[in-house]
Formats: sequence, structure tokens, C-alpha cells
Amino acid sequence: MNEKELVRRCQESNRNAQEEIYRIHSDRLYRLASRYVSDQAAAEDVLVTAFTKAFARIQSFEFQGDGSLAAWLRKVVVNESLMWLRKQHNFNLTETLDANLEEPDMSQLTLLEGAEIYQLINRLPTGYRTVFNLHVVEGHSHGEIAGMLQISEATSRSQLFKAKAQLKKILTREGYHYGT
Amino acid sequence: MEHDINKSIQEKIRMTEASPVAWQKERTWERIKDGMPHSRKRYGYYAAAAAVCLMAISIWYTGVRYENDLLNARIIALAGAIDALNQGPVQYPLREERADPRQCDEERPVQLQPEKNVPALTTPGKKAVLQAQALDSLPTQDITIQDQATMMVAVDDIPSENERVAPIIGVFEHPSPEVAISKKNRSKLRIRRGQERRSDDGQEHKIIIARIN
Repeated sequence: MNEKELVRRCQESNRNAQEEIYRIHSDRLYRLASRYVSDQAAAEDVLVTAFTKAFARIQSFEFQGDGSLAAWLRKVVVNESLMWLRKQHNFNLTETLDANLEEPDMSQLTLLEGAEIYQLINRLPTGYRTVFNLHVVEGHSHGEIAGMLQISEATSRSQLFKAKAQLKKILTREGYHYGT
Repeated sequence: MEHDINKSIQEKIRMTEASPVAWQKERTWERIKDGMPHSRKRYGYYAAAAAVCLMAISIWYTGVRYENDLLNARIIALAGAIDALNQGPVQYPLREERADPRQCDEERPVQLQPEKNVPALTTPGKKAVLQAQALDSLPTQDITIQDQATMMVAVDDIPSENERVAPIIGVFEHPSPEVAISKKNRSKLRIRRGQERRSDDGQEHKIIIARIN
């Protein structure tokens, strides 16, 4: 069954189609959620809520080719992860950075394996990790991140700068010679 | 430069996310399934099942009510008959003195069921035996309703004059729509003593009148 047919049947509240969609996408989405919430039980909670909401709102989803459902589900899980984080963590930060500070070079990070990068990200504090995930991995601008986390753009930049600085520190300490 | 680095990290992360991972996948699906509302089709099945159940209950309840109504009517008739028992034997008038019941509007005494071996009615225990016997042996054929207020019951056996007879008990032994009494009228039912004779088919009949006041 192709993705379009699967979506159509899922829009008719077909339980088998819903389960099929879950089987296809849940592993990837679980990894995504655990990159944000950094806890297995919390990631499962996020997934339960995200899939329940996704199946409830799938009537409003418009199929736009293969991959569109995966992208839509990804957005739902990211939003749900942020909601979970907002409940657990105070993002009401008002940090600013000195504009003259030089941006940490992350080129050394690209030499690492994906799993290693994944582990390094999970070692960051929640605020840093969230902004890093949203900006670097999801590709959101600082303006978008400010809206999503209800913080200022300056705070978002500050959090990203600190996240990169922290990553550099970890890599240097563990022998990666980051930024040389 | 920064954009390329971000792109590279992004690709590596997404590739990692595509690799298998051990987690409580089945348990999470069960939780999702339990939290989701049932499909419309399933609601339809539930609604149909509920409708069938309601219909079955209403049919059963109607039957129970009908049985209760009949039972209540019997009890009322029995109560009237007990009163009649306490009033002693009836003296039947001469044949030529009897009026045609179909033309008579005045109240008449209840015509009592003839009973050959009726013992003296002296104790409550004997009364109970008599009532039971009368209930079992009552001829209840030809039950008709003359009008909304009066019912007539014809019985075949004619008691001889001055003969002591047992009361009529259980005139609703053969329930039919004709003899069913409405709940409203049941409380007003009184059985009166009286007798009439008619000979439509050439046979003599006794007529018993139960009156709904």
C-alpha cells in the first residue's frame, strides 16, 4: 500500500492504517523525541501524545507526495517535545551576547559519526540542546525559535552560541581537538 | 560555511535516527490505541447493539406488565368473591320473575357459582379451601363485555332454587383483550351479586355481572 492510500485510509479512522503508519515512522520519531527530551520514558510519553493528536487531526493533512507525511509527523513530534519541555523547563531566559564574540567553529564536529554527534547533543543542558536542535538540525531561524520557545531572538542566539561553546569544550576535553 | 556545517550535521543526525533502536514500541502503540477514540464504524455497531437490547427489554417489560395486570385483576375479583362468601347463600327468584339482563340497567346481585358439596363456611381455613376449589373449577367461557362499565359472564350450570352456591372467583381466567381491564378502572371494579337468565341458544345460562363503578 502506498503512502497516499495509507493516509486516505487513516483519514477514515482505519485502525490498521494507523498502526501501519506507526510501524513505519515510530522508530525515527522516537529518536527525534529523545533528542529533545533526553529521557526514554519522556520520549515515549511525547510519542503517545503526538501520535494521538496526529491521528485526530489527520483530516487536515494534505498529501503532497512521498515524504510529506513523514515531515508532517516530524513537526508534530517536535511541537509536542517543546510542549513537554515547556512544562518541565523554564525557557523564560533573557540572555544576550556581546556581538563582538567570535562564533565557535563547528567544522570538527562534522568529522564525527552521527551517533557520536547524537550523544554529544544529549549531553548539553536543556536550553542549549533545544536551541541547537531547532537551529542546526531542524533548520529553524532564530526568529522562528524565539516564537516557538517564547524567548527573544537574542536569547536564542545566545543559547546557540553557548551550545556550540559547550560542544567545543567537550570535544577538546575528550581529545577531538575541536576548532584547531 | 556555517550553513554547510549545519547541513552536514543535519544529514548525519537524520541518518542516525533512521537506524533501528531498542525501545518500548509495542507498549507505546498500546497506549496510543487505548487513548484514541473508536472509529465511527465501531460506534455504529455499538448503537445497533444498544437498540436491539432496548427493544428486547421493552418487549420483556411489556409482557411483565401484562402479566401483572392480569394478576391484579384476579386478585380484585378474588377479593369481591370473598365478600360474597361472607354474605351466605343466595335465594334465587322464580324464573318468571327474572328480568332480561341486556335490558336492565339497575345493579344486580352477583350470581354465584353452583357447588354441589359446599361445606359450611365457618372458619377462615375452610374459606380458603373453597376459594381455591372455585378458582380451579370455574367455567369461564363466553366472557363478553356489554359496555365499558359492565361485564357479563355466562356459566352453564344453573343452581336449583334455594341452593347454596359458591362465589364466582377468577372470572378473568381466560384473559383476552375483551376482558383486560385498564389500570385506571381496576381500582373501581366491584363484583355484585345477581343473576340473570338468557336462552339465545336454547340453553339456560346464569349471568354474572361485574360492575366497574
